[in-house]
Amino acid sequence: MIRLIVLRLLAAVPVMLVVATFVFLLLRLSPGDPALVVAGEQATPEQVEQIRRDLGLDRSLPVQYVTWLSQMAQGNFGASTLSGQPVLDLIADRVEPTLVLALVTIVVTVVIAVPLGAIAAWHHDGWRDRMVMTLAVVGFSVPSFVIGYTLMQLLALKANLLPVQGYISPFDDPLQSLKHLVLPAATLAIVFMALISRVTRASTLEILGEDFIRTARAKGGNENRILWKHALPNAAVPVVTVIGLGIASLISGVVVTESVFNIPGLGRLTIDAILGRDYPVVQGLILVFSLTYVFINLLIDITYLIVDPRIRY
Amino acid sequence: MTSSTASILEISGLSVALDLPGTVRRVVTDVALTVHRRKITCLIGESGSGKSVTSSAIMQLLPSGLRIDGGRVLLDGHDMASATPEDLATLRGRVVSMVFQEPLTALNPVMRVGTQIGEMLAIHRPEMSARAREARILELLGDVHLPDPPQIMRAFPHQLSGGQRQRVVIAMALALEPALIIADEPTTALDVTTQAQILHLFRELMTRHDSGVLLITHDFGVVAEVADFVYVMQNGRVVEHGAADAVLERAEHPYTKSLIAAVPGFRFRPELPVADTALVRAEGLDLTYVTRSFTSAKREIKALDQVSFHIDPGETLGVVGESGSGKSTLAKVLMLFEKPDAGTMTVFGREIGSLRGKALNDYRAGVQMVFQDPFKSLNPRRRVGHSLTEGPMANGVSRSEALARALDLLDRVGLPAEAMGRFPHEFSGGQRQRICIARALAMKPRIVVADEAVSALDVSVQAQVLELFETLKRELGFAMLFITHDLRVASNICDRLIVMHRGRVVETGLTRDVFTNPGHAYTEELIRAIPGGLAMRTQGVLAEQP
Repeated sequence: MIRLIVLRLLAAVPVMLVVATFVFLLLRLSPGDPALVVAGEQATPEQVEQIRRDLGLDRSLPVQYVTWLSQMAQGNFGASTLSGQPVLDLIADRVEPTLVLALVTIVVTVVIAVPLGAIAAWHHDGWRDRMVMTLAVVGFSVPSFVIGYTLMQLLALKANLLPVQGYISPFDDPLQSLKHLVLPAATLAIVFMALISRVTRASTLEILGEDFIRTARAKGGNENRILWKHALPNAAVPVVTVIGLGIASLISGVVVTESVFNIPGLGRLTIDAILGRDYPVVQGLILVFSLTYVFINLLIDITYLIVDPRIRY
Repeated sequence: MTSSTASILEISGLSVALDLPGTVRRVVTDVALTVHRRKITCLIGESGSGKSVTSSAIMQLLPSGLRIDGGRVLLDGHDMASATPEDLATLRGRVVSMVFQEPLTALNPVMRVGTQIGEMLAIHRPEMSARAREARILELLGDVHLPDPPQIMRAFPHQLSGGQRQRVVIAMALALEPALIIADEPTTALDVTTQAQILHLFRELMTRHDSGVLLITHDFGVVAEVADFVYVMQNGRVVEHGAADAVLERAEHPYTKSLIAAVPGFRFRPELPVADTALVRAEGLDLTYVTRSFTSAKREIKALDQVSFHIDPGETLGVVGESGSGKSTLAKVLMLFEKPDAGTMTVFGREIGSLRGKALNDYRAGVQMVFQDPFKSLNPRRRVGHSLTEGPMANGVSRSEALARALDLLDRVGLPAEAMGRFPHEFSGGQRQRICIARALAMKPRIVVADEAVSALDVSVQAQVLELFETLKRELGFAMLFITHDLRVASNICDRLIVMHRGRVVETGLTRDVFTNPGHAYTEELIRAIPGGLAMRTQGVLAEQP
């Protein structure tokens, strides 16, 4: 296990290097001059040139690349070209809302979607199955901003049950924080519930046809025991995969929801950085998101080891 | 009748129907059957005869689509038809328990073996303390002669061998000392020595627990070995029944006779003239598998240990031994799926380790394999014609010639030309194996490697496929490496044999010599373990010996 973790972390180094290079080239080759943005509209050409020199943008690409890499290797992600704050500080400030939102969403999703999927598989082709699958199709096809605005309209504006927008840290005021989280979490969760319940259903359905299910029945096990103790644990591997990837894409993909609900998380930071051509921040964000993916994939692999003893690396 | 031989199961007029769109088909018709305590009753028939459906019907565990449409199943006085789901849950496990055919799939792969046995107790004896339960699990594992019960208890199914898993399934079935044990082909997937031990175990445990056993099998060898009573099923009906000895000696129904006749006896082949140059010559092959466990402890398994052999042109060399003896590894080395750690193998006059590029490609075309499981070795989404022509066409044969060759081979293996356009699932197991053989021969191989190629087939089909190999070999003149755990099969098709045990060749020689005059204790053990033992052997060549 420890061997696995060390090996996987080592394997992450070249992955991150490729990502870093790709990000570097992508931003340098895209149109738009950050020096112009920083200098503002009234700046003289000399001022712009000065800023360009300060930012190191006048040097050749390979030189910029090497400088940039060596700084990164020392943990220096640079400073925002807009605010001048260190990139890492900026990101650290915005991590909490995104992380809290992602965790709440995934917990809600798993708690609801996995049992739904299992029950649908159990009542295969029955009305419960059709209902769950219909909901899954709807949940999957409606864009999240539509769901977001609809929920906001109904529950916040009309019924006045929940706050419309904003974010409050659970460390400051747990109850208010939860109230603020309900709408965005529900918005995000609906899509993932659709996905995870479908995967759980398919996986469980396959397992229910296995010989050991018949064995369990021949032992005199009742149907509850068969579904929850024998079928579901065996169906876990694909479900774990989807949940893991769900978490990763939640952390890096909450842009729309954070905008709709005005949450100061990483998604908002990403949008602001891209619009402001804030290269260092965009680079930092993409690297953080990639690292999240690598880390979560490692977590998925470790979880495999726990849920299925047959798996060895 | 004393209580100890009283009937535990009485079936009368049992019928099972399969609901098809627009029609209903009877798969079991009017079956009557009785199982007594302390007796082994065998239900024998080929695949599709309805024997497994009958056993599932007793447990009320029929697959969806099948339903009981008549008759009565009385289990220890309980009418199963009128039992509620709660009654059934109580009866299953406690009064009747089942041992399934496939020990590889019958156990939950992610649950520890001890927990699965303990589940029986947890369901039916919830009052039992955890400590008492563990003691009982250990006792049961000891009862089925598993080594080191405390360790086995904590193991997961995949960490055990097929024989060990089957013992676990049996231990599970015995946990509550049920009055009736239904065993559906419990030894089919096992090798002869394990099979003999398991069959012996059934008799021992049955006597100790005063229970009755209903043993479902397709092998008359097993019947001869253990049965007290036998019921023969064909097309969903019982065509003959009676005391096992009587049926074996004086079978009346033609189907029973054909089943008994189909059990391969020992029939040896005439000696081949000695060839000058061997097709395959292997010297001192070594191959060690290294596995790392969870705790990174290294485990080495010597799959091949100083193995030397040769195959002459046109000859069939048999490789016999138990699972884990290195038989399949040998085939893999010949197929270049595995590379030996040491030793040399010269095939068609060239050292195969040095083959590259075109020579390697030609070699692969010249050595073709027929696998054990005809259900898994054909691509289910590819028409038979496609499977038969793909290999030759990839090797530069024109489409029209490949098609002509495929049609010729289909004819030779006894399948109609229409088979070209059909999918594998439309064929029976025996037909699929014929397709697999045709697929291998389409490459015009000089050597065919058959790894347990008839083991998954019914005895009568087995006899036909062996006959087919024989004919094709005569007509097309290829040599064969024939791997099998079934000595009777080996005697029918192999010119020479090598006997393998734990990676080593313990004996080699002409088939007749190896069987009639075994030179190694392990070979003797293998021969002794053949189910049906003497009774079956009297039909073979051994009877000719004074």
